[in-house]
Amino acid sequence: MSLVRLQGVVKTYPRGKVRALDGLSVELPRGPVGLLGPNGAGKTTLLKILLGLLAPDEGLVEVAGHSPRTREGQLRLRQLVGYMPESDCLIPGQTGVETMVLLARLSGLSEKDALSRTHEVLDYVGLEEARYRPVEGWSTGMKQRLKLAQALVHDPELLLLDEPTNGLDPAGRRHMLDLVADLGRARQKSLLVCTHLLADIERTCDHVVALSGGRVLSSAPTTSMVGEDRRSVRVSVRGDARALAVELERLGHACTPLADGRLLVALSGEDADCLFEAARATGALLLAVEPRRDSLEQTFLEALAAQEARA
Amino acid sequence: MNPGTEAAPANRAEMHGGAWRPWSGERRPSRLRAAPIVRAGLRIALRKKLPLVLLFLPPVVATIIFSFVVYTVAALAQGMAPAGLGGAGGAMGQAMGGAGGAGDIVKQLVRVREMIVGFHLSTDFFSVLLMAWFGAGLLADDRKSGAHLLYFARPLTRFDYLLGKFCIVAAFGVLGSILPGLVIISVAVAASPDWSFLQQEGSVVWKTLLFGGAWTLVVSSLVLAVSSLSTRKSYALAGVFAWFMFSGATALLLSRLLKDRDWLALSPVQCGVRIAEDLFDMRLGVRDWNTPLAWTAWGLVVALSWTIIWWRTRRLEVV
Repeated sequence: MSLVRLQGVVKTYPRGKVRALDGLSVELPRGPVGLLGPNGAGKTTLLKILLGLLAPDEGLVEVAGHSPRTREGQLRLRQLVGYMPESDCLIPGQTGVETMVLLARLSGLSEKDALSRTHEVLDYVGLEEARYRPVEGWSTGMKQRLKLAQALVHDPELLLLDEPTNGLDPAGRRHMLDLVADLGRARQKSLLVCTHLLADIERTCDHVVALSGGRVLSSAPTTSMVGEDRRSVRVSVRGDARALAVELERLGHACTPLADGRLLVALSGEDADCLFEAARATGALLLAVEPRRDSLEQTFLEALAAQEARA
Repeated sequence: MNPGTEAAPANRAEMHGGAWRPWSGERRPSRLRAAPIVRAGLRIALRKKLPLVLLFLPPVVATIIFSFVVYTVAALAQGMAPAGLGGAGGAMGQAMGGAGGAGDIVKQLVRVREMIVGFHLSTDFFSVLLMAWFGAGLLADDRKSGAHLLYFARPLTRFDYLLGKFCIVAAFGVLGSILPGLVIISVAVAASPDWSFLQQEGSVVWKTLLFGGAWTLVVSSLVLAVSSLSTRKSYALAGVFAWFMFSGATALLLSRLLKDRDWLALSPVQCGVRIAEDLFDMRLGVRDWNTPLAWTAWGLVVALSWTIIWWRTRRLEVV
């Protein structure tokens, strides 16, 4: 069953007469979901709506069965959602523990629960040493983990993570991605990871939703979007690659030389024996044959191009 | 599982998965949602000791001095030397214009009341200092640091948020204005013969609460409004003092140029003096002008401030 359901959601900003969401309909499954889209695709507006900070002009929005139509609904929604903002947002002058306790209390936890939960979550994200130090002196990686921790402190049904690896060095990025992947896969949390780093989504999310122009471009499991195309193979050759390409073309297989010296061969059938026949005929030695693996970026760009072509 | 998800064990970052457990308790936001904000705000404000000492020292010293003087006057009204002064009591009584042993108690009690009003007006400046220093950054710092994103992602309304911020500033107004007044009144009550101060001048208690409360409301609202318009605490602080100085100078200038004292209503400080005169039934100078206009001016300042705050905090509710 889906956790988030959006049906025909329209949101127009009256000042700029911008239609940020244009009949958006999508169901987000439980588990880690990635949200992709170019600038102006409607990602931020979608996040605001899921946080109950914006009410849609039209359409249906439900998070765990709750709708943000009324004020009570919006407040209820914010109890169910944890939000990790992209930008700096920590309260100056407070320690990590104080920040967490305050936000846990505002989320409805009792004083005692807020404190115990704070320590658990800070331990989980690896901030146990720094917890009593003012946050101003923390590194970017620590601040980013605290932002994740505060979103988790009340154990929400849905976590909205806006660019979780923003500004992190490679080690910090790896740590953050490990945490996000652990939350989504091992801890079975429902996440909506909004990022422009497609590799992060490939690594942490099981489902990808791509937005463009306020509409859903595609919504599919990550595996189906980064799947292998067994009919296209990359071939590493020692010997006369050009002669091999000519021979393959003659046998009816489209062949494209790649910049790294390899050949991209589009096989006309499932069988790759033709490669070896062509190699034997031209005296070339096949060093490696590997199926072409579509990257998420490639799939996304192709879908975007297809939509533009339709438009 | 997607390719690339599993990093080599040696590359895995430190993570204490054992510490995690799903939350099984209940999330039930309190009706007093502003209370955690007030508590956290006061904790931050009280953390830095030097501003606390510097800003609270003048009101504390003034409270001690006024308490001593009030005690002395009340003791003189009973015809006895105040403890610790020994034989100097009579001399001091004469010096203070008191009636000494044969003094008129009622007259002395009126003098006590005047001292309390004088204390209020003399400590107004310090209460403005306190409220401005501790309140100027409340909205400006949240805007600058982006902390509003964390607040408004919780089940918190704008009213709760602003109420919390207001209570933080007002707490310093209470500490700098109302509490010292109540201390001095307590001294006067305790020192006056047969609780006579309470019987004769008991209304001073609620008048002190009313005046101090209204002053705190006006200054707190103003400080928050300027803070909501600023991007830094320092700008907000400068803005508050600039507004007080500019409004005071303009009010005096216009009232003299146009020979109409009603122009004094432009200055909240002058309004405070007029309201205190009227409320405590005394004359502090030649400021005989329209009291309802002074109250209206204070009301307008509060209304305008909250309009600005409400308008500006709409923008804070943005992801």
